[in-house]
Amino acid sequence: MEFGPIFRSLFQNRARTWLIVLEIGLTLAVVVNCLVLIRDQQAQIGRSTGMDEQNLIAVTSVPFDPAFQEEGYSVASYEQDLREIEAMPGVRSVTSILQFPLSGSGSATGRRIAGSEDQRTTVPYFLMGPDAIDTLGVELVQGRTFEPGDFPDLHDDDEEQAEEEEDTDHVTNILVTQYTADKFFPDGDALGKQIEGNNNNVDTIVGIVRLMHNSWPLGPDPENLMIHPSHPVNNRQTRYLVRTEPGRFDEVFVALEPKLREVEEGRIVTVRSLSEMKGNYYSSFTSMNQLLGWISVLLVAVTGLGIVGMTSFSVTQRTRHIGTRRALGATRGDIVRWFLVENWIMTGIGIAVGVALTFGLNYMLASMGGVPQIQPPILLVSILVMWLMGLLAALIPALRGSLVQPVIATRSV
Amino acid sequence: MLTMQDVRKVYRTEHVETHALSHFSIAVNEGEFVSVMGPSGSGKTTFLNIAGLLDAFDEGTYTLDGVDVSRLSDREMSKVRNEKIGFIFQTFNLIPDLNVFDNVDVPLRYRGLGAASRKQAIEEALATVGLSARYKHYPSQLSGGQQQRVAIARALVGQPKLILADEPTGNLDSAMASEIMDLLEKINSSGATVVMVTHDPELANRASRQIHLLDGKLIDLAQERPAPLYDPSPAGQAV
Repeated sequence: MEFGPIFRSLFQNRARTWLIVLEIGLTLAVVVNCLVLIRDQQAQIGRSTGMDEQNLIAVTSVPFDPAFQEEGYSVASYEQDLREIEAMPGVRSVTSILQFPLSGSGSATGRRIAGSEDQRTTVPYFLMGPDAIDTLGVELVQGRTFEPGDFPDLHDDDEEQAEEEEDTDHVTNILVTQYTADKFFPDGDALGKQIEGNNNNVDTIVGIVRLMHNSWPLGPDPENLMIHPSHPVNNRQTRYLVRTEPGRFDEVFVALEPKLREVEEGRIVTVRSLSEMKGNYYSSFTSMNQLLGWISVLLVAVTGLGIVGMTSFSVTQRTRHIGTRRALGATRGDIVRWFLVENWIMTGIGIAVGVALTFGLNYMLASMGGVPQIQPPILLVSILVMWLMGLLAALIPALRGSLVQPVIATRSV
Repeated sequence: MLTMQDVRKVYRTEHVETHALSHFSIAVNEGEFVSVMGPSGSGKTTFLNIAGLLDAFDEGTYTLDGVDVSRLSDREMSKVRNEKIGFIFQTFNLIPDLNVFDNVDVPLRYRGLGAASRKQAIEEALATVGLSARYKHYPSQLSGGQQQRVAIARALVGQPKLILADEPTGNLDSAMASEIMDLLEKINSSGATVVMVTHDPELANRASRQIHLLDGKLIDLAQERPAPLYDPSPAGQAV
């Protein structure tokens, strides 16, 4: 192999060499950081939310019939909805909820350990009806789920009385995620402990859920969550979560709207899968990933074309030298090998420079926030792709160079 | 060493056929120093290209060092060029990106020799042409004469039996040209056969045999040369 002479000759063509080296280096740095970002975001999208997402259907009922404004009408409709949905074939359980998880829309409030002088920390929460745990499909690791006595009286709709209760000490039995439990009680003894809100509302932790995401999975604390027992029904909008039996999702999904309109016509019923809602929530991530993916592909392609162009130019420029080499005994294979080795050396230096630039760019982006650390497999695969791309890009011009006839050596310029 | 019999070479374009060599026959013996002369377009370079296996021919036979090279494959021709022939070009044809050492090394690398034996051969070849001290220089740092001496070192480094020189002094002044001729004579005296194309009759006369080409054919100058007006021989003086 002519490594020595090729290496020395590259230093005689510094401009061309450094152009290719920098092109490869910069491409590697940008592509690896894009891939790291894509992979991280894909991992976030794909991670478990703790819920049985695949079998969950989100139903929204928005009444327009004036009858819903009448006292007790909404509540009666709500109770009937729950009964009718639960009785549907293929439905495992149903619950009501004020805001859907993974939707980007939710509520949060301040909480601290009851009786302490700590600063209150923000805890997202869901107001959910009976059968919440079974419907969500989350795993209860300690304590119990809600019992009928945990819920407020559904038929006591005296708002003034409720407001009075807000102002006085009021104890609610709640469920929290393991994350939230550990946040307040790092020693693992959260069960039975109490946390308090702004108006001296006190919550007693009666159950701990292993994992569940709140309404903002892309937020800093997606697992930070408490669930309050409630009947989130009103005359403007009521939401239900329906969990189907495995394999019966489609059947229930199609039947839900007709069934609810059969129960009560004076409303608009919207049925969506939780997976779809999650997809919508992550759509900005998905679009960004696609954009980054295309940028990476285009960068590699442009770099490849750049190498094709530079090698082609080099072949044309050195036609006479190729003829001379052929005259001196080089076979066609020797000529191809010469260009490929030359390219491999340049690609190798480019990759070495690129690895340094990759870490430099990663450090810079990480300090600005938002890019995770380089994962070695991504770096290695990218290096392999760049090397193969360099080889393929140089191969066609190199083959063309090998067709130069030795007689070129004696042709006058 | 080199025998061509009825060799024919025709260059064809869409409308024109040019007979570069026509029924061309020649025999060059081992150890000869043959100069090839003729006007432009007479077929000198075509003859050299075919002799050096740089170009194919249409008809005839060509035997080089006892081997019929008419039907060799591209790879086999590369091997013959590498092992048996050394080329010296008018424009030197050094590779500008390589230093003197690496330029002389080119034919040896294609022969697959080890680094130590290559180094020794290169040093000897550079010593022969008087450029041992310049082995790290690049062609652009050398004069024309020095570049041609590097090219000669490259031609002889593999100890080929046949040296083909295509107007080796064409781009040099007369002093340099004479130096190059001295070198070619030195190479020839060491046993290599030298075939040199030249336009310069003075340099051609330094060869052991001169051949002349015209319109792709070898011509016998003795038949065409007019009788001298003055015969310098003793017989002539006696008249």
